[in-house]
Amino acid sequence: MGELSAMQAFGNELIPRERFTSAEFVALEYERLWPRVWQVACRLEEIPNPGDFVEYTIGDHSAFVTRTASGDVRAFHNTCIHRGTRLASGCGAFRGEIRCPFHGWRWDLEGTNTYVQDPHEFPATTPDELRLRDVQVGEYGGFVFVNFDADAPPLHAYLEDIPEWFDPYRPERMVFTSMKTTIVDANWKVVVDAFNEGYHIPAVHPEILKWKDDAALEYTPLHTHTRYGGGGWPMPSPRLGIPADEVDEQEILLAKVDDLIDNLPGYIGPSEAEALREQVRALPDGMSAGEFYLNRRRTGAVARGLDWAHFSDEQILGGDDLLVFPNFIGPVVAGAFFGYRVRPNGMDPDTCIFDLWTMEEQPEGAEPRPLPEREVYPDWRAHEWGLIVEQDFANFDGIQKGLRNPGGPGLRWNRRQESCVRRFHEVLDRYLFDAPT
Amino acid sequence: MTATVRVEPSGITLDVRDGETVMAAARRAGYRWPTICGGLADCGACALEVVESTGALPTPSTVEALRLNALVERRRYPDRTWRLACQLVPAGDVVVRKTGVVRDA
Repeated sequence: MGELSAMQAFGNELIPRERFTSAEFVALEYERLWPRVWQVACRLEEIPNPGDFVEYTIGDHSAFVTRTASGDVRAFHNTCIHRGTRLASGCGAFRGEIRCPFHGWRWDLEGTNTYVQDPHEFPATTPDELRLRDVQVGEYGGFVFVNFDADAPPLHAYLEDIPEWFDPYRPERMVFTSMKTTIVDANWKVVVDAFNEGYHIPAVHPEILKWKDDAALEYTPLHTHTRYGGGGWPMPSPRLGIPADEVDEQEILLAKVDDLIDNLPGYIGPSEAEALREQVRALPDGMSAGEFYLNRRRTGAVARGLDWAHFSDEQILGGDDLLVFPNFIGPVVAGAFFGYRVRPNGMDPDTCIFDLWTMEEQPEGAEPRPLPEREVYPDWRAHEWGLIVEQDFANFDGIQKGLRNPGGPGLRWNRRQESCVRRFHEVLDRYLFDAPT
Repeated sequence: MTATVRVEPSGITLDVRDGETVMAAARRAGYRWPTICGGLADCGACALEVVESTGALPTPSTVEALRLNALVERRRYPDRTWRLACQLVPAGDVVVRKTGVVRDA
């Protein structure tokens, strides 16, 4: 391929397929994007005690996030400052200190060296040089972010308008209900792009049109991140052309609740799901599906000790789909979050590492719950994810194969419903092609 | 010979020609039958419930059966008979239930 260049403006020009398929593009992202951008490494609940750690990897970069004796959260480059050995792998707990498995050097949880075997062998070395190398760390809503660039602006500045959209759902009170990881057969941006629009709903998830007014989705590309949402009121998509007087409110209510619980498991939290399913079986005369759904969800929240008074109806009905640039995306609704974290898989442009994190809100002051088991499926086909996620996974495979197919033209994005996709790529280009300031 | 399809709750009656699908008969008569995929057995939006049938219905083809398996309605009401209007070629008179069948504007 020729010179890589920015897709400035993203007007009507076609988008080169190499963006999703070329090894050069992967390399450029590893050089210009990943070492400079904030990314979600873990949740605070994964490291409740001093010494608990979680490793976060992106390409060759690895950091481990740990909790210090004083309860602070810190992150370090995951490499021994002596001969380079990896210090932490996966997740677990340091037993009081961090110890290199190669020559036994040790550090406290603040990164200060506490032991060098035969220190007289290193006469010119200062304590400062013996420190572990810090990785910038930031916290928002119970999420721990890292940034490998020591000079990057702090997380709260980077997040821009995300808290405005996310705060009402109180992410800091959410706890994991499942943690799954798999490999998906597509470039990581194919996956982000697919979850960044609802334009694919009719073709990929046609069954939800019975209750999903996909035409009512609003798209809100922010400066760096994106949001879409709305269209939560249960009613058939206008694409089906069902006259209002033929809409069976009981049917669409059951379809919505059953689809969400069975086909997108975790979208409604497990503490709520089965009770809600039971309660919506008998729609009172004269009540609409939307009114009853809202009423049951609000009443159920009170019964579980949750204060939902501040939520708008739309936040309970449909919520928001948020992308925290570049790779953390998913729907959040009152009571639960269904988050996807997507990372490139080494240098392979055609696959990516996909984490699905489902969480639900706990009442303030509730006892911490044990973490769910971390499930890893090297092949996504080896697990039942729910129909809606499986429809997306199957679709990714076909997208990537098609993108590699020589002879196709550049890609095109529509004006409104793919506006968040456009914004994502514009921001990506700021990292890849704008001169660093 | 033709078969008759009555659609509830609208009461629309369609004459279906030999070898014609329910959806094709509706289109020929000037009605719009709900569909997203346009009749490729892909989307399931055209699914109907068979309320009554004189004589046996033809067995669903592999593509129809695959799509019917994924139908939410079928899982909710496994005892009812569900078919795709874009695939079903009725051999005799049938009464079906389907909302959203309207005169084409």
